[in-house]
Amino acid sequence: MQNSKASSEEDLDSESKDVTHFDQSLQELRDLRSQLHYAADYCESTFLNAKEKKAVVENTKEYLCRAVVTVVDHLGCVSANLNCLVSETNAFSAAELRINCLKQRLLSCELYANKLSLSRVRWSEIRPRHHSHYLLSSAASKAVGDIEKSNEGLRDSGNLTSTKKVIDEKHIEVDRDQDGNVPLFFYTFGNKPAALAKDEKNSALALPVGDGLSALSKCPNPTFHFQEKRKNGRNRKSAHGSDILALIRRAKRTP
Amino acid sequence: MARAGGITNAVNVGIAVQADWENREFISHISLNVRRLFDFLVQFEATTKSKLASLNEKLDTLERRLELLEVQVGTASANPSLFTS
Repeated sequence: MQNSKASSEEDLDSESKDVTHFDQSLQELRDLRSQLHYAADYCESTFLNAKEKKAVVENTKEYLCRAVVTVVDHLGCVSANLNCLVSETNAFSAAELRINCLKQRLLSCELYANKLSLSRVRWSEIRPRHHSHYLLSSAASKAVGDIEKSNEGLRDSGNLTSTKKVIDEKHIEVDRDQDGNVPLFFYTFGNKPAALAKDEKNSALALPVGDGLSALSKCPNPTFHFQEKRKNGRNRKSAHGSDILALIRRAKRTP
Repeated sequence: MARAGGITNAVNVGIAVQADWENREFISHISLNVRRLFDFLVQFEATTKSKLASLNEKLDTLERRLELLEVQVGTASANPSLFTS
């Protein structure tokens, strides 16, 4: 940073020196113009008033040569300074580099902002969930009911019994839901309500079912029952063995 | 005497003619150098104009880029919520 500052200060000093040189050369050229005009007037007056005009002409020639040489010299100096100032494009290249750097930074900032917005969209905790659940208005629900009634009228009379069974089962399910719990086989077997009416003791063993998925999750595992049965068998075996041991002890005590 | 005076007159005329020719040659040299100087000035003006035009074009492009960057920075600073996670 210090080196860059020092180099920038040196550049500024050199530029200021060039500018002062250019201004000085331009000012000398302007002064030379007025001097040349004054010298031309002096030569004219001396040539007209002098007796030996040859010497005056020679002096004028010499002065003209020197004046042309000095004018060319000054013009060369001015043009060189101006060319040097115009051809120095280091400042422009530096400014262009800085602008490109700023542009790159802005691009990186835009990329970062886009990345942040994308991550918000992808991993938002409160994401809206759309279910396949639609609510119909009253007029639309009436129209749908009329269509269903007309379809039911077109069905066969043989299907009416099955539909009545299904409707009765649904009524039972609704009543059971209102009470709270529904046996599992209500969802699986159609003729089970009669069995339920007969065996009311087994109704206590029936699982409460809220909906189909919870009933499936809460259904007892048959392998678990099998293991329980095995455990009972082992207990029986152990009880039988204890009885034999007790008989052997009694037999040992009796003699 | 008259012959000698005629010779001297002829010599004087010859010297005057030679001086006149020398003066003419000197003036032609001076005018030629001034013309060269004028040509150099015209050429220098053209090259300087072209260089200044190119510099002006570069400055215009730099100014436009700076304006674009200013607008972009203004829009980015107007929405600071974009950079807050």
